[in-house]
Amino acid sequence: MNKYFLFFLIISCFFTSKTFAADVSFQVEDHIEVADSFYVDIIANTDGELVNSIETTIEFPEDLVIFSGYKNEGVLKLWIEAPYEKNGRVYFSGIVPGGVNGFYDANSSVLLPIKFVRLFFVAKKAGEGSFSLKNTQLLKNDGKGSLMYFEERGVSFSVQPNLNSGEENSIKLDNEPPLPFEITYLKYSFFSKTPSLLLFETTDKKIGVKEYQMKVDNGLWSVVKSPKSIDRGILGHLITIKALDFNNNAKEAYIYIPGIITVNIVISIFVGLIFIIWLYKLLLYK
Amino acid sequence: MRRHLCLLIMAKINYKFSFSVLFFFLFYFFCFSFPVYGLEIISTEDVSVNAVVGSTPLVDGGGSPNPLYIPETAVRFSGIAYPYAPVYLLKEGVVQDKVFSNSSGYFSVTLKEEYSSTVLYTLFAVDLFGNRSLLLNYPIVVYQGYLTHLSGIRFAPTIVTNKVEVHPYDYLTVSGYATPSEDLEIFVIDKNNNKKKYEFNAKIDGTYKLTFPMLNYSLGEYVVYVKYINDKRISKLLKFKVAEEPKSDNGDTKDIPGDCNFDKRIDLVDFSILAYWYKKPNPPVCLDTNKDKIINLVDFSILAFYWTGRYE
Repeated sequence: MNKYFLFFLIISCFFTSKTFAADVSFQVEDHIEVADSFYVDIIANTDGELVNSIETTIEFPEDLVIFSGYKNEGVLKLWIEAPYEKNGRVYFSGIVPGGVNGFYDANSSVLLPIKFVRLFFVAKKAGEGSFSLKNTQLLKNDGKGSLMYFEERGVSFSVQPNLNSGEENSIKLDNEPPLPFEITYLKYSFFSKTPSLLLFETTDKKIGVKEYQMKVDNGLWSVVKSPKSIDRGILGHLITIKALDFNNNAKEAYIYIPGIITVNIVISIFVGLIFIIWLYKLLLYK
Repeated sequence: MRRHLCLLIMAKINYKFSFSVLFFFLFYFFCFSFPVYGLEIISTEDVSVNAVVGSTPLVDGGGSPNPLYIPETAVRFSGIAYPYAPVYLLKEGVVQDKVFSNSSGYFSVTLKEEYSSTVLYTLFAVDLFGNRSLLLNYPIVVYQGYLTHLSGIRFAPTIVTNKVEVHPYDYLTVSGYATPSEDLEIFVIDKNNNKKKYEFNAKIDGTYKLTFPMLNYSLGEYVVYVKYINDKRISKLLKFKVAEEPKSDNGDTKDIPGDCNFDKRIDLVDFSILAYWYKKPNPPVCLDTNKDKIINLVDFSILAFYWTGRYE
């Protein structure tokens, strides 16, 4: 046996594993100018493996760009946590029921990478920067939630000076509210540890829903996430949920949550009392 | 395929050539220098996509003497399900059409589209026993004026077991629907990930049934699934237990992990309850599908695998 051959075979193993490794990466618009709104797609090449869930954190240069929203253009429709920004990082997690292994395009002889979501950023000033991924988890659609092994690939981008500074940003002109939505009341079961929940979800045609706010009757607004646990209380309450997009356009939805004391219970008590009084009088006169 | 073939040839040739280093390099670059993953995927699954100019022109003349002919935009999905099975087509999670497969399981469904876009289509089938397949997703780029055809789709077989707890001297029966006369393999996996494999054929009517003794199985929990030989897609995973004193009430062999309201479905309600407990301590046992006492992405992944929705 030729020992050189063995040596090269071992070396080649390292090369081949790198060539065929899966990766999660970005696709960024080619030309970005100051005040432009531009997209950043989060994509994954899984080497043909079906995946059904992702959780990741995206780091971006806060001095250069502002996170301005997202669009449900990718395969992620069920958000565990919809994209939100905190301290120069964008977080999101979600699932694709049934899993996906790529995009099918008749104009391509290969399976294209999976596009999970399209994020939007607005360029603040000219300069060089990069997007990078941290703590990404990508799980296989194998019924066990096995970890997919992949490489996190960042991307560099540059923001050019805006030669047409008078041009307004298309995102800033968005005045359409999120789409109408309904609130679902999931009632607490006596044998369950899970409390009663309110479920709500909507989308925004342009830049995604930034947050939901809730108020009980005429109370104050507070930021909430779906599902939101809710106490029934003694009397019923009118719950208002407001969906706000990244330009603060709002859409409201309402639901009445009946209290523990309902009209039926009051009538039942009243009828019961009358019956007891009647029975008492009947026995008394006998 | 090409990768495997190349490695095989390299191993064989090596014995005959002592000066094989140069040869190795040349061969290596031939085998590994091109990104072949996409081609492999399509050939492994036998799913291919093509687009042709829409065959049925639509007339949009508005009464003018020179009507404008617009080629029809549509997507078509075809492949093999189970004999006489209803096959549902969903677009972005909403049912668009339902067709029935023929006696050999072949189906074809076409959906009109209006403009170029990227759409997530989903398919599922229900066998004659009423058991549903897992969901198949196909995100497709639709071109206006073209019929985009995704062919070669094949649903993994459906699966049920007759028991969830079995005595070591008893038998377990695994059955379901598959493509008629197709080669199948059933895998039984223990908690240490050791696999046992049984190979057999589906009957001509698409049913299959395999009964095997538990004598060779030690006490404990197992998972069983079925797939076509040389196919990547697997059926649902079903759990069973080999026990000295199996429960007389054998429960429901169709129990789905994460279905905590026991409605035999995994849908938005189950997802929302799971989302409520996401990263919270002490979740309900029923929700914690992998029993690690925390609700994390793994539990969501398991839920997504068994997702049924409320489409019918």
